[in-house]
Amino acid sequence: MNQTLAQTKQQAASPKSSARRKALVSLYRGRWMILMMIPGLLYYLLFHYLPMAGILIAFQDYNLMKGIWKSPWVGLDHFMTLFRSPDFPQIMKNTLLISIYRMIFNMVPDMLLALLLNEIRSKWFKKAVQSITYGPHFLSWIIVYGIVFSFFAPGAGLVTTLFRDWGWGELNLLTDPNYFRSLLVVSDLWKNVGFGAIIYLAALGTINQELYEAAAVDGAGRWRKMWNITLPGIRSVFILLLILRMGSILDAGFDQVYIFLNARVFGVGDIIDTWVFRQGLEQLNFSIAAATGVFKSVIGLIFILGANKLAKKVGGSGIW
Amino acid sequence: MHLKKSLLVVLSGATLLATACSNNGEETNGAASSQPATSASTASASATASEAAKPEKISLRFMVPVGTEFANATLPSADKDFVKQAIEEKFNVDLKLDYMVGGEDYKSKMNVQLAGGDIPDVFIADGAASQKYATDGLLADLTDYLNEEKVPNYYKWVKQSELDSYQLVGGGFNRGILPFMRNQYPAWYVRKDWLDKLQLQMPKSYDEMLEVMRKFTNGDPDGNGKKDTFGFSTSGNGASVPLEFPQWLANGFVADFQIANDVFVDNRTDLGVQKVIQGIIDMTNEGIIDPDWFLSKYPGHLDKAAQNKIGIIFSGEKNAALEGDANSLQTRTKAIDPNADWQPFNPFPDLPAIWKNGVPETSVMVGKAVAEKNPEKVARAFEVLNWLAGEEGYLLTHYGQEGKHYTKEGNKITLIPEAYNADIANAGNWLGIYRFFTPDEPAVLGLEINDPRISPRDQAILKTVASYPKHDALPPVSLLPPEGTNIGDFRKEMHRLHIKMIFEDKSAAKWPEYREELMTKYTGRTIFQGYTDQINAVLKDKKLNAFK
Repeated sequence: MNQTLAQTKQQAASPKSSARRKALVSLYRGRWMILMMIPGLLYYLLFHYLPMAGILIAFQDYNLMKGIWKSPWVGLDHFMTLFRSPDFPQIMKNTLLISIYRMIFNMVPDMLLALLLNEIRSKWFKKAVQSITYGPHFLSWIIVYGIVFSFFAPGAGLVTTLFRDWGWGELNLLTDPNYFRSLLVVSDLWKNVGFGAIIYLAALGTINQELYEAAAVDGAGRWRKMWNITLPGIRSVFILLLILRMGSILDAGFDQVYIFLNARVFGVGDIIDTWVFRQGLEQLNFSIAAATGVFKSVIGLIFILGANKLAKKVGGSGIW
Repeated sequence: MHLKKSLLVVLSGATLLATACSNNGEETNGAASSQPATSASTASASATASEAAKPEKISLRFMVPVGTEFANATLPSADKDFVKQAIEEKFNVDLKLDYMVGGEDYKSKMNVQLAGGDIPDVFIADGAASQKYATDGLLADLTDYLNEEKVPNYYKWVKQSELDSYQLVGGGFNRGILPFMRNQYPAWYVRKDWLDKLQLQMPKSYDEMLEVMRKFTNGDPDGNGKKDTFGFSTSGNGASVPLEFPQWLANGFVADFQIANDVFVDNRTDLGVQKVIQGIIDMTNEGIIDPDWFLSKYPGHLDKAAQNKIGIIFSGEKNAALEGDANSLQTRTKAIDPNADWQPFNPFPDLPAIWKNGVPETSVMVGKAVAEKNPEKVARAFEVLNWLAGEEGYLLTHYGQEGKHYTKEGNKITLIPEAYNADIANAGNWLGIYRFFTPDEPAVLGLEINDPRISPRDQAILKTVASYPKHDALPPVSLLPPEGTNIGDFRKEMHRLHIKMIFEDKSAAKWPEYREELMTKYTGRTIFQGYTDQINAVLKDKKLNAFK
């Protein structure tokens, strides 16, 4: 009796169970892949999803002693404080400007360097140039600032002294509001251009060599090849990076700006992140800092979705 | 090519790079943390085996600021660190010191730890920060730990009455005073050898001082044929106008606060600041001050002075000009220029005071969470602090090991500089880190120091520097900014305006206007009226007038 019941059950479920079996088999086949994926998933869970609970403090009057569970709720008060702060228009403007400068003046040179490197035939020379250009990426900003300072210090800087000795007058790059943002972008360029080129080089490597051969047969020169094969080949990587950068448009590079900032260039260099740092860690107003973080993330999300949609419309495909 | 495919290319590239970079970061972290752990495990094994009577082993972590003179100090490996060994053995603890030069970065680091709930067992921070912690309810009550019975040695340094007046009104007893230098040694120092070379006299007034600065800038005092020297320098840390500028005293402003004509004066926002800033602008225009002063991070200007580039500096370190100290400015300059001779001078001989007497400004605190969860830890930590404040701890942290780095006869201590320099001063100058709890004032413990390095020249310098007049700026009271004000924003804006006048306006004409904005928009008047009221509450015979 029992047996027959079980049999009928099994029969009834057979189309379903075969699908499940298939799934199980494919899971089993990919077991090592899945196992290897677990640390990555855990990482995102632990360091990216769990901390999201911290968003709560943006809506609370957070007190360290009371913690997340006992601090009183204040709704959107902290967002109002942020938007009404006299600093807000200024830090917003600075952040956007610096971020957009970085986008333009860092992405294009990255690509240009990759294209240049790609044209080099001598292997050792290419490797040497590549190593030299991406070396600075591994220096910390503190060290880079030290280097920049010893070149451009208003009194004893190497370049400043040269400038003065040639009778071109005083050079005050580090404290001049007119040059501060350029200084940020250029030093960032120096530090990261070689590193940024690597991704484009990888993309260049995926272009089918036969296309070049075919073009050569058709009598295409170097420029023609670059225009019709190379550039279209890396276009999608460029767009992809652009979309990703859109997501972090309100990050203007805290690490660098915090170190380069001084009281004289506050007007042009104070960005959202340095402001948050002051509010949150120097004055212990955690809730305002958290509210600003939430605001930044929302804007970032909107931008990344928008950019993706635009890419789909224009180029026919987005990231998802 | 589809974007999805290119995403794959990018991601694989990025992971490759990420793994390469992450190795980098981890290595430094690992190096920092691995060393105490290993030493602890071996120590604990031997301790438990030999003495069962000792209390249970506890790990303690202190967050302490170190003096600017030890900015470059680093602790040696555990086997050479005899202070760590002594403390760990004596109190059966595993001690970890988080040390950093005091200042804004120190504060930020402290706040990061507090915010993350990673609270050190004992931490030290300046008065303003500790007020914030106290009002946020972060601090534990210290009544059970900080009293005559538990830490008798501490009371040799700090009086109970001082502790009482240091507490915030209605805030309970949660801020201990870090033992502080009662004697201060502020002085200007000048290159005497440069003076002699240019046939100048020791400056005796502000005007003479400026004249010397001019000569030092234009007269090629180092004789290298290049115009590469400056009269004066200081370190503005890219943020503020230091009180080291002589223009402050030239206009009667002594240190940060004072009482003048029965009114509380915040020196840096008084109306008279106009003249101070104008003086600095004039000095800048003359080119006699090192133009790097504003961006220079402390002790950047002293490094520059040691490189034979600066003729006059201000210093609060009593060792600055001593030839007997292996790390003093004098010794460092002499390594470059054998003729170097830094001598103290006072360009304001007529002023009743050139600085304020030492006042309690730094707090020793314990986190509430630590005390509630682990009172035993706090008790043990205070045993360690008591020992540090006592003779044994003081001697070990200031002079090294008896018989090796000094000899002791009664209360007379004779130093052995060669051994000290070899093991300590020239090995990272690390002993200074352990001095966080006691200032360099052996007289407090009745000790008499005989330092063979102190030459007659050094002795004369010490005597001169000690003779400069100081005053008690304010009655003993802990000033707390009133509710609804933000002293941090106020000071930040104040610094910004000072700097703006010097570098952008190039004139101090707008100061009255700026000041009014500070007083109203940035609630300065409310803050200082609050201070005035708090001072009046402790003044017995007379009362201060309202702040204007």
